Amino acid sequence: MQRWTGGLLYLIGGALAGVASAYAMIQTAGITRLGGEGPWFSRTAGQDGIYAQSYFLLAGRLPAAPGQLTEAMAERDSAGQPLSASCSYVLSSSGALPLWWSLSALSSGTNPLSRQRVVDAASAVREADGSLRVAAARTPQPGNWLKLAGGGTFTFLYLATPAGRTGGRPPPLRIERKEC
Amino acid sequence: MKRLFWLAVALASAAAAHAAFMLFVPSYMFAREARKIMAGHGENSFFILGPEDQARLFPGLPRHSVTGVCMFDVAAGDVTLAADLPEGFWITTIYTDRGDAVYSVNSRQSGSNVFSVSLSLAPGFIDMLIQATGKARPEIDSGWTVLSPEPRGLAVVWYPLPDEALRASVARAMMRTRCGPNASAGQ
Repeated sequence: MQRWTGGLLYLIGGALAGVASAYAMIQTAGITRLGGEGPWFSRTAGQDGIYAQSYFLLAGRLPAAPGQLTEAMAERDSAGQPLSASCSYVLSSSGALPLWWSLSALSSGTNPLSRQRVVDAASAVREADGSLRVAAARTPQPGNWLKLAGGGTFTFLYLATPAGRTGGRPPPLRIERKEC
Repeated sequence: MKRLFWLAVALASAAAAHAAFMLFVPSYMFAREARKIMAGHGENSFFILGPEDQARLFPGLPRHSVTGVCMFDVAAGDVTLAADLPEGFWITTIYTDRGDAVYSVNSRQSGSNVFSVSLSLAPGFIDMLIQATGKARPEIDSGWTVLSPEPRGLAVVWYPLPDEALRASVARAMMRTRCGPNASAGQ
């Protein structure tokens, strides 16, 4: 009896390890760091594997159309600090933006997607010199404002077109933390 | 020796659980979300997503853009997406229900706002062997033909807009698009 109980523990332990390893691989596989040191990374640049696709399916959504849109994400600011919705951030352009782009802040927590806000090429207000400045904060900000919800971590999601499937170039946006 | 045996059992159990999780859980989670979004529309019909559903499926897209979808099922026969889109930039992408994009075209690549995509189930290994022995291939009609490795999937048409005020009129124009069983199916 004791022998079979021990065997069952091996079986259950193995199964749990299998599920945990699948989940861990979904979260980490297919990530391509864009531009070396910066905060931006992509799950769609150069990916084709089942793990990278599963990341999107687990979240109940679809990846951006390959070859048509580049998708980049940031979970840290340009100084390497994790993004927190209890802080405010300013994103400023450090180069030319493509013809069409969009930037959103996806917060963690309950029902995050219904609260997401998007600033895009059509709706963004440019500075006098043509550059772009977007404030991400919980309270209203002058100019382009991305509303942050909740107090936990969040992710910046950047989409742009046109772009090749391999992506490779990071979004020309610096992320600076202002107040916490 | 006994311990080695149980370690091998644990390893086999881990491999089976890993494979089962990858095969079933992500597609189940997506199918559950898709069912919520498609509720009331059914399969093989084209409709425009509301802003909330669009934000759920494609969180990075601006809410004032227009997204039309058709959840297709080619298990019983071919399905045709007959697109009739307004002038402007758009992207049409065909995804399987495993999130694999099997086809994507934009307005510049298409060269026309009116086109049709015929969706068929890709032949399995046995079917390919049978066809290789001389069985006639199914006739391909005009337009583009996409072979989906999965019987079910989503055809998505996305149309970005500069102004929210245009959303209703563009959505109305996009509803000229049809998605349904191929008229020549079964012939």
